[in-house]
Amino acid sequence: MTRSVLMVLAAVSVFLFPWPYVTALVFLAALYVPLIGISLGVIYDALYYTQGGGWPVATLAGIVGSVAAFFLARFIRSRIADVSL
Amino acid sequence: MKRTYFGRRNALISRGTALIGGAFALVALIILVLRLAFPSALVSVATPLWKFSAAAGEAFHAGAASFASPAALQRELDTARAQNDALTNQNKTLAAQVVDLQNLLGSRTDVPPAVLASVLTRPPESPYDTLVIDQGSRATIAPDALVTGPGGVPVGKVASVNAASARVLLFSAPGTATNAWVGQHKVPITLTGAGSGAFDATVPKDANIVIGDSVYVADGGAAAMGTVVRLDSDPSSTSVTLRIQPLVNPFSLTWVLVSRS
Repeated sequence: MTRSVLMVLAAVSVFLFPWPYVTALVFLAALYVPLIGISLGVIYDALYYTQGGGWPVATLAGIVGSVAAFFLARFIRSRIADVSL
Repeated sequence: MKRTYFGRRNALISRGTALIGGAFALVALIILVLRLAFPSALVSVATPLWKFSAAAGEAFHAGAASFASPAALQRELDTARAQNDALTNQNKTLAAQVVDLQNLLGSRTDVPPAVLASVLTRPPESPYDTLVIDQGSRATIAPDALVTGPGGVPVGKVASVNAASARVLLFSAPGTATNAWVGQHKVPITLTGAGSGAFDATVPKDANIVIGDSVYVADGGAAAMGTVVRLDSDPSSTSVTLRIQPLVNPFSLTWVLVSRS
């Protein structure tokens, strides 16, 4: 249930919320499904990135966030609590 | 003989997680292809959500305002009433002028020098200091056109154009360099975007720039676009770094004017 709500919220937040909230929601969702970080980063850049605006930060942050969330979820599952992450 | 079968289980990622992740990746790929091949279609799909977001934001602020103190609300109401009276009088004057001018010139009017566009997304929804506006090449908007906010304050330039939408790169986008002038003597500077609407610039110390000096965009006919709010200087350096605040808050832009090509 939590996983589904988080994923829907993260997906919708890309269109609705300011970027700090999007970052937090996507990272939380990525704890359950790591690929969400990269996917939503790409979607975010497809929506908002403009040539001349520097690096596509959302995609890069998505990649870093996904990798971090993957290892963090593994760590939590194995060392702290056996929760359904 | 009946055998118990244990399916192989991926220790790293479960099948369900991989399926959901794959679905998200597929959607991301489709949206990326849409952006590259049919950018107008992507904006059309996203526009209702962006408009809903803007409406929800306004409703939230209105709701939050209802918790303000009665005295503050009364003051705000008085100010709004005074402004309303002033605007009503101004409107009457302008309406009379329109009638006079129509009597003089007929109803023919020249093509306006700029296109009015609604802002679909603005910072902080986007971290790039960009705007997506609802007018594009159909409204004769072209790349590099100057975009101005309320009061004719320049805010950025059109970076890319589709048929029914355009992307505007604000002057404050990180790393963006813009030619400008500062102070009474119009000292030439290069503004560097610092993100979130702010700018930096460097001038020699003997230029005598002070806090409160105005900054003008060179391209916009010397239109004022910001104010110097802080001076950072190293005693051993011959230059001073100006921290500049924009006159228009990009976080609250709802309408902009785009100059015609």
